[in-house]
Amino acid sequence: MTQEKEHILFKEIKICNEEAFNKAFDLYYSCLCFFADKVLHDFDLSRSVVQQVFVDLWIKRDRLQIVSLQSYLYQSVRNASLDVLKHKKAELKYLSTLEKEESSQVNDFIEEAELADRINKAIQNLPEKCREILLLCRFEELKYAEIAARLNISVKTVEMQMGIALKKLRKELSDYQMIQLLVLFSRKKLQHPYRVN
Amino acid sequence: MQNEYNPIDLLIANYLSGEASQSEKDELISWIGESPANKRIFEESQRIWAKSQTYFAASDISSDREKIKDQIIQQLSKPTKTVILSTWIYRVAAILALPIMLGIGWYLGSSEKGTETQMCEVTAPKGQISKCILADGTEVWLNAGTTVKYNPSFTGNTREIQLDGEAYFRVSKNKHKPFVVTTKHAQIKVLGTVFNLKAYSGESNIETTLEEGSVAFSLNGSETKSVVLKAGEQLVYNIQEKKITLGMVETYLHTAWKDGKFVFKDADLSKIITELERLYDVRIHLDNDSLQHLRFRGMFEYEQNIFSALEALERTTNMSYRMNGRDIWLE
Repeated sequence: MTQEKEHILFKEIKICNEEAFNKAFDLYYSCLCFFADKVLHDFDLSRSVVQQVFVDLWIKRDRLQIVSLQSYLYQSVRNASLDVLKHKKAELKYLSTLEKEESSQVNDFIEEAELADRINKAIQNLPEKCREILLLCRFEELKYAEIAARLNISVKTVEMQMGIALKKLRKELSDYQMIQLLVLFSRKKLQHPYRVN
Repeated sequence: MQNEYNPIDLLIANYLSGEASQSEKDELISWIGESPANKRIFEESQRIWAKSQTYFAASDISSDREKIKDQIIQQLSKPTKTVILSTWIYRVAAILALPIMLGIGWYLGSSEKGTETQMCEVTAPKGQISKCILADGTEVWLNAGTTVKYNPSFTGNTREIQLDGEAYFRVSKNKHKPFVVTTKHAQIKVLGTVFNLKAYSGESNIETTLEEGSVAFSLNGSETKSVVLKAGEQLVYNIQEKKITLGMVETYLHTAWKDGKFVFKDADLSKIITELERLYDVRIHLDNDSLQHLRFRGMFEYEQNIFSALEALERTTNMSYRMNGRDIWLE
């Protein structure tokens, strides 16, 4: 999405266009959750932080002066996440390092979040059986034999589906290097993107 | 699906998930060594594996979308119970603000110049009721969209407070220092009593309703000619016609708002709309002007959201509403 299109998206949100709000959600929500998770290391908490940012975006839209919606969202999620951390008074050491070298680290976080989000979307797009097996293996850390038993299929089938899943993910992400370069290039233009009156 | 089977992917998958046997590992290592392209395939796979730490299912994402929408509706329709305090002219040394019901307390640092007036301003924004307790112990409930200004230390011969909007006062007794509420057009002088004063700028009437004790009502500029109210009486002053009406009322109808209730008996729709607009910070438009003379009796609770109020209107009449942001149309 180009900056110009993004600008239109926010303008539409400003004039109460719910479709535009939905579109912004589709574009950024999951990625922002991964981003918040880099700071918070708690995915459910990250989801609620990002939800609040979207609630505020809608409720305060009249008062927001946003140049780039994307930068605004990342900045807001970052601030909200740091506030949550401060509030918890946990990981103090981690927090201070984060604040010191914040911009470079936050940019790394954004890139990592974008990659995590792309991988996530690729997993969502896998054929159902394939996805189910990959999730059991990768996220529930089941052994092939355990997966086979649970799904009532052969170990060989599990193995084959894992191979297929991996190949498909690699294919879906093959253009990622190029996209990353574009993101880096466009991000340079997005300094001090917003202001709340 | 089966035809996409590829022995090398299978090998890499086995390796990454920790299922590869030693001979499979050896086989994979020699395959990686065969060409840089192979090596890249392996590294990409490794990266994908490493970076996929949390799976965020499409169904969870769409349920989060609904949560956001619910939250928005809740926040837009429910008056939040916070109090906005701002200082006026001079900075008040420290202000302690607590949510409604706990009231607000403040502490004023010793003023550097004793004679300078330090004014304090308390506002209940649209959609909110606030309560504050003044330095003399007087309790003031502010209805939505109301502002009061006063000198917090109450120096001088009277305790003076300026009002724009509607407030319910429970005034502490002090025979030596009368409590005076000033509005744009009139003032009310009391010694110690409980009363409601409604004087929103922009409305044509000023209403004073007395629950206990006695108050003296006078127009600005003619303080000597005052009207004294007795308990249960209401004085209505019409600003355009310069006309005063005095009569007995059911005071509860006029003071219920402080308990978060809007009670009305035989009120027309335009009055109800004015209250709802103030209460929920919305704009209500009537598609058909003749509707405004419809009369109602009933009660809304401030805790309820705007939708239940609108639905109640829908149920009792054949009106319907549509909403866009903060604008609501009734037809």
